[in-house]
Amino acid sequence: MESMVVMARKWANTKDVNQALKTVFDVVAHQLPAANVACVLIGGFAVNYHGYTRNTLDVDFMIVAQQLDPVKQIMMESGFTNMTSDDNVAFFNAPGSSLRVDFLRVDKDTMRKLLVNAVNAKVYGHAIKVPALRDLIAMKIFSLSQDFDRRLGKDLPDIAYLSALHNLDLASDILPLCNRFGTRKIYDLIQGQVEALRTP
Amino acid sequence: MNRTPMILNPLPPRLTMDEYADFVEAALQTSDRIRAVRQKELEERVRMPFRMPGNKPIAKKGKTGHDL
Repeated sequence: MESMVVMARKWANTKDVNQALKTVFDVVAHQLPAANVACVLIGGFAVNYHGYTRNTLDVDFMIVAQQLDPVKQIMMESGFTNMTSDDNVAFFNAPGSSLRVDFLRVDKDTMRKLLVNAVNAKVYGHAIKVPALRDLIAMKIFSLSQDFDRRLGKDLPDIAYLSALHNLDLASDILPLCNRFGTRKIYDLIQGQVEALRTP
Repeated sequence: MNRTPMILNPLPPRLTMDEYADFVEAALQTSDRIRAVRQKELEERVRMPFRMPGNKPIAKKGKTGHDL
């Protein structure tokens, strides 16, 4: 597993690294705020920020639902193509790359609450908002509760590793989140996974 | 005879955000695009947008899309 670190550092020095990701973070850190669009980084990048590194094939953000139009305009002006968008999410592609950039849409009040607790991360020198740990776990629990079978393999490890890494207390930290955003069944699964990770 | 455990730490290595971005970028450059698209279709969809309790939903149930 340590080879991931070596590979990442080697790739960091590769001159032909595609610029698409750098452009995405430039857009989110500078161009969207200039258009008064609030945005938080979620998905694998946010999970990595909070300490659990796993693979991903995209970059995910959350925006206020009503602000999709300026996001579309800025992303397309920055060279991205809009694949599809619906009530819940908009997908963008970087031409010539497999990179996909997704903007999940939430209501204003949810975004406001996320921003209150959000923390600042730096990616390629750009300041990006990331949800607080408990808010990110809440999203994962919510996602798991919406599409359990399909999301189990991805969200459960995220929740379990983040909980273990941050020494969260299952009863006082995770159970209340499951009561608000998920189910007792999800809590039981998380409990089993976290206890397994904590077993020497 | 004492043996060194094969896995000393069950946790994966920690990458900085820049290292992680480079890692993802490199994975994307070497991945099979069709398979990557197919993988995302299989694993991800959004039926309901995330919301904090007390907020009204912004979309009807049943829409599909991408998730976290």
